[in-house]
Amino acid sequence: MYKINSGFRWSLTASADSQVFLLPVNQQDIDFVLSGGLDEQEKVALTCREKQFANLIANFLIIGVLLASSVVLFGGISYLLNQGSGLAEYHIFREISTELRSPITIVAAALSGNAQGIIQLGILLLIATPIIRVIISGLTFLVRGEFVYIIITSLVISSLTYSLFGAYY
Amino acid sequence: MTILIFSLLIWLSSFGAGLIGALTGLGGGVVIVPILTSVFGVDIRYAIGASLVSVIATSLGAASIYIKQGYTNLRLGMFLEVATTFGAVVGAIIATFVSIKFLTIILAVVLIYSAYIAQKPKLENCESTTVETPLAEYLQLNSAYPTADGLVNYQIYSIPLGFSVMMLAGVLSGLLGIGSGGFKVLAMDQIMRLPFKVSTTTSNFMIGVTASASAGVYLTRGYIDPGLSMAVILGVLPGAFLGARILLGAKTQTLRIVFSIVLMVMALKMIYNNVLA
Repeated sequence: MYKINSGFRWSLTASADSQVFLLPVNQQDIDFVLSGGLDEQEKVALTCREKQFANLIANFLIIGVLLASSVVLFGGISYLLNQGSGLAEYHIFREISTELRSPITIVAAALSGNAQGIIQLGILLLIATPIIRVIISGLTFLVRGEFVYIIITSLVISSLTYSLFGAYY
Repeated sequence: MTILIFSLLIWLSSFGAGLIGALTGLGGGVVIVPILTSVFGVDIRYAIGASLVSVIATSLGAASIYIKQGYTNLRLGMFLEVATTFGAVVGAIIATFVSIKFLTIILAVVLIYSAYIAQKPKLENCESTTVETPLAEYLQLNSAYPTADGLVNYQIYSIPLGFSVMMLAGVLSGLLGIGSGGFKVLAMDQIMRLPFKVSTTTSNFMIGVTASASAGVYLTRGYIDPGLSMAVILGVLPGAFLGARILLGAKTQTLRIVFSIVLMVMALKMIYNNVLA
């Protein structure tokens, strides 16, 4: 710890077991500190909040991918059990049945026990996870009032919304 | 060949692709599409769809690990996502209009470029300059990342140019069903001069949303086949996870060179098969 000693007399104000360092501090930083900028507590709180935010996102991503993959796995096993002996014809391009193409019908197909529908539902969850992540971060920015990032998040969400719903023409 | 056997083979190849992709930091997408089309003869549209969805899966898994380790710059990723998602939607829409030959040529070019990038040795960026970028300050993008010596600060440069390249990366991602890791690295590593650990992890983070943006279009167009995608996803995910685990200790330069040679061969084969033949 350093102490700014403005007295004329040099007196030993530092305790015996501490050291005095000469830091190459620039004028800007000195002004900032002297004007009462972020104190230690605020700085710690800031990094803690950022860490919390990062952890929130990371945990959400893990849950999302695990959930989605489990559904895909479940559907996959069911699919292979039922149709595993069929011929693989992926070299022929037929547009997938319309049932498996839009979010609402996919959920319906999955709920009715269609194996391909279940897989497609898992895929849908997979696609949705990053989108929900964006929404979560958007809400966090909203709560914190970080205007710039609210705008940024909204732009991303609009691209994503168009992708899932607007491409229907 | 029955669906069961076919799926198992695809599962195995995807596992390998995910493993190598994670070890070289380039992601599996750029390998999966050529493998599916050249080796297994799958129609390129199905291949792109399956690859795209698997790219999302690996991105989510890897990104969560890297975020917790403190490498990923979340704000930079979110900011650049504006460019990549917009590009991805544009790319996906273009993909539904263009011919297969065109897609193949573009993919081959990207493969060759990725091959070139793959064999470059990755250098730590030790920039220490006092040039200021007000845009980075305004967006709170400058940050620090953990190294063996503690937190190291870094700055971000050339943001508009980086943003534009990211848009291009997004278009390619939507067009080809890849993560465009190569281009993202180009933008962040070379142009914005981020330390490579930050650029690869942030790129990884962004890939999820970018791929989601184009996947939505693919899904509604019927390019995503559940049976095929299932095998790819379930293969790539554990492969990438294993690769990320091994990466911490591995010397990857030889692997990178092998990888880039393989990519070159695949690119040439694709061109030969689909364009010249």
